[in-house]
Amino acid sequence: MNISVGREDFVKLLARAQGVIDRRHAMTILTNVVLEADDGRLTLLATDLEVSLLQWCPATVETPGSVALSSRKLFEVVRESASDTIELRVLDNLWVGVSYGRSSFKLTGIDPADHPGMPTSDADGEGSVSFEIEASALSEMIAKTVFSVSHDDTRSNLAGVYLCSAEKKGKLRMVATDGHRLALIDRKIKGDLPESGVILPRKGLAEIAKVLPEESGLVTVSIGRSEAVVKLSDSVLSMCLVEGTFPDYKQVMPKETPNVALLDRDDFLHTVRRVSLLSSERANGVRLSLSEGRLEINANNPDLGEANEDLEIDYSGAEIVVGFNARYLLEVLAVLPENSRVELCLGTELSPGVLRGEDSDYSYVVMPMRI
Amino acid sequence: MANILHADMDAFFASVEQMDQPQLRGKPVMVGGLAKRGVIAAASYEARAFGVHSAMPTAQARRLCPQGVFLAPRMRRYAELSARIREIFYRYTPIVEPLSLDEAYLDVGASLRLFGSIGEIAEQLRAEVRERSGLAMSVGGGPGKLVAKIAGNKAKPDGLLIIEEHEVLDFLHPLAVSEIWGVGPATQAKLRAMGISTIGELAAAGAAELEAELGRWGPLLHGLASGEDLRSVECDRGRKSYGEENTFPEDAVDEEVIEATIIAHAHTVAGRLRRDGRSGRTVTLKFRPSGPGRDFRLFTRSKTLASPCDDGLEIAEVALALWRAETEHPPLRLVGVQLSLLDGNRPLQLGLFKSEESERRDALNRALDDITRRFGDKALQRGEGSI
Repeated sequence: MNISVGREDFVKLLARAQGVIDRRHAMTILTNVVLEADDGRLTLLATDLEVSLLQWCPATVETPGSVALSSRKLFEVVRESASDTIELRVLDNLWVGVSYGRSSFKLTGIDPADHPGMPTSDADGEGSVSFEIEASALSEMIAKTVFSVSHDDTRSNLAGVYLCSAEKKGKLRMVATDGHRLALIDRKIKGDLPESGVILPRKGLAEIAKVLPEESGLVTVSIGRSEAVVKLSDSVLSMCLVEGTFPDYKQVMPKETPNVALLDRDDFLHTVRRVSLLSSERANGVRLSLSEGRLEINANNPDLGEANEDLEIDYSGAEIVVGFNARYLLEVLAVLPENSRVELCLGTELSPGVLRGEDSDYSYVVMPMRI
Repeated sequence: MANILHADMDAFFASVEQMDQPQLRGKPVMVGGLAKRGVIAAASYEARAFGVHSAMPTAQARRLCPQGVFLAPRMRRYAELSARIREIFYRYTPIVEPLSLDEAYLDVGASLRLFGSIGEIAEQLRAEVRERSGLAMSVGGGPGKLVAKIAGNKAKPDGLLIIEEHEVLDFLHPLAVSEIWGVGPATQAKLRAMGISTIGELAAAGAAELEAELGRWGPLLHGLASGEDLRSVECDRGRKSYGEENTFPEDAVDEEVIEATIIAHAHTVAGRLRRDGRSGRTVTLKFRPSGPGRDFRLFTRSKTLASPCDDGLEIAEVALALWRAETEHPPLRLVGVQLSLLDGNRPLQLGLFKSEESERRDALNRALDDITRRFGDKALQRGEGSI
C-alpha cells in the first residue's frame, strides 16, 4: 500500500474512530484501525464488536493494499502534521511509514487478516426494515433523549434509547429513561419502522451524533433482528441492539397533571443552576414551591448553607411544593431552545412531573424527590 | 458551663414489673436469668435492702433474699417503654447518646435558651417521664459526662443533682476513685499502692507518675480527676449500618433453621430501617462456622443493590442467595444480616417504574409497621416457612 491523503480528511476520520475504539478492550487487536486503499479511496474500519464504524475519504492511491495499526498512535502522529497531505506506505515486515513535510515516522503495523473486520450485519437481511430521516432531525432526537439513558450496569434494558413507531403514522419515536426521568420525542420519517420497538445502545447513538452535524439531507437507518445500521454520506455505522425488554413507558406518562405553570426557559434554567449550587452533592435536590404567579426555588445543605430565588411566572393552580434532582431539570432545559417558553405540569409532591417546550412532540417526565 | 445530663431509670426492669403487676409493689423484686448460671439484671430498692445488686449471680441473690420475687426479663416491654422515654429526650435535644435501655447522656447546651436552665430542663424531663411511663428517673448534670454520671448516681433514687462548673472539684475530690467509670479492682489496687484512694488524691498525683504506673489510661484519669472531661455526647446520627445477629444456643446444623433465622433477621432489620425512615443498599450476611479446625472465623458476604431498600422480603432474598452460594457449610455458631451504605432518610429520589409487586410490598410494609406501632411487635408474626 502506498497512498497520499489530505490531512483534514484523515484527521476527521481518525478522530471519529477514537470514539468507537475501546482502548481497554480484552481483544487488544481491536485497538487497531484497519486501513484499506483502492480505487482512489481510503477506507477506515474501527470496531469494538458492539459498535462498528466504516468511513472513507478520497486518496491518491499509488499501490492499493491494506494494513492495521494502532488507532491512537496514528491519530496522534497525523494530528501533529502541519502539512496538507500525508504519505502512507506499507514497508517490509508490516512497518508503516507515515510522512509529512520533513517528518517521517515508522509505526508497527499488523496483518489486517488478524483483525476480525466489520461484523456481518443482518440489518439488510430478511425481516429487516429501513427508513429515511433528515440528518438534523435524527441529530435532534438523539440529543434530546440520550442524556436520560441509564448508567446503571444492572439495568441493561435501560442502557439505550428505545426506538419504535409513534401513535401518529409516519413518525418515529425515541424514548430514553434511567428509571427516574424519561425523555420522549417524535419526528417524521419516510419508510418503515419495526413492528416492535428496539433498543439502540448509548455508545452507538453518541457516535452517530458526532457525525450527523456534518451531514445534510436524508440518512438511511436499517434495523434487523440484532443490529441497526445508519448510512451516511461518508460512513456506515452499525451497532448491536441492546437485549432486554424496555419498560412500559406509556404507563408512566401522567394522564392528568392539573397544575400547569408557564415559565421562561432561560430564567428557569439559570435559577435552578444558581440555587443548586447549595444543594447537597449526592442528592442534588432543589425544592420548587408554586403559588399563584410565583415559583420559589430553594436548596439547602447542612454543611454549606442555603439558597433561595423566586420567579414571576404564569400560574394559577394549587399551591404545591415538590423536590427534584436539579440535574434532571438542568439537562432537559439545556436541550430546549433559548428564548422559549416551557410548561411545567405537576400533580402532587409524589407523582411525576412533566416538562414540555413549545414543541408538543417532545415531553420529559421526571419523578420528584422526597425532600 | 454545665450542659450534659445523665438520665438513668431507677431499677428499670424491676420498676416496670412493679408498675405492671401492682401486687409486687413494696416487695423485693429481682429480674434476671433464672437458670442455673443466671445473673440478676435489676433489683428493686426493696431487694437492694437485702444486699442484692445487679450483676450478682441469681443463686446468691436467692440465698440473700429467699422471700423475694424472681422474674425472667420481658425485654420487649422494657424496649417499648425505653423508646417512649427516648422520644421525650428528643423533644429537648437531638444530641442523645443511649448507653442502654435505661440510661442515656443528653447534651442540652443548645436547648438552654429554649427550655430554661439545665436544672429546669432536668426537672421537666423527670416529670414528663413519670407522667408518660409511670416510672422514676434520676438525673445528674454537669459540665462533663463523668460528673453528670456520678451526680446521677448520687441523686438516686428518684432525684436530681446538678453540679455547676465551679462546684466540680469540690464535688469530685472527696469521692473514692472507684466512682470513676472504668476504675475497677485492678486499677484501684495499683492506685492504692501509690497511696491514692480519693479522686482528690488522684488529681494531686503527677500525671507522669500515673502514666508510668497505668500507661495511657494514667494521664486520662488524671485529667478526669482534675475536672477535664471533653468527651462529647455521641448521638446516633452517624449511624452506618443496621444489623441483627444471633448466636445459636447450640450450633445450628439444620439448613431450614439457618434459613429461617436469616429470614427473621432480614425482617427485623427492615423493620428498624423503616422505623427510622431509612434505607440501605448493601446487604451483608455474616456467619461463624463452628466445628473442628474452623477456629471460629467470622465470614462476611455482601451484595450491593442498585437502589436503596427497606423491604424485608428483598433483603431476605439477597441474604439467602448469599448463603446458598456459600461453600462454607453448617454447623454455624452465629448468623447475622446487616444493611449498610445507608441513604440519608431524606431526600429520596422516587422511581418511575415501581412495579406493582413492589408497590404492594410497600403498602404491606406500611400496614405491618402501623400494626406493630399500635399493638407491639408480638401482634403479628410471619408464618413458618414463609419468607
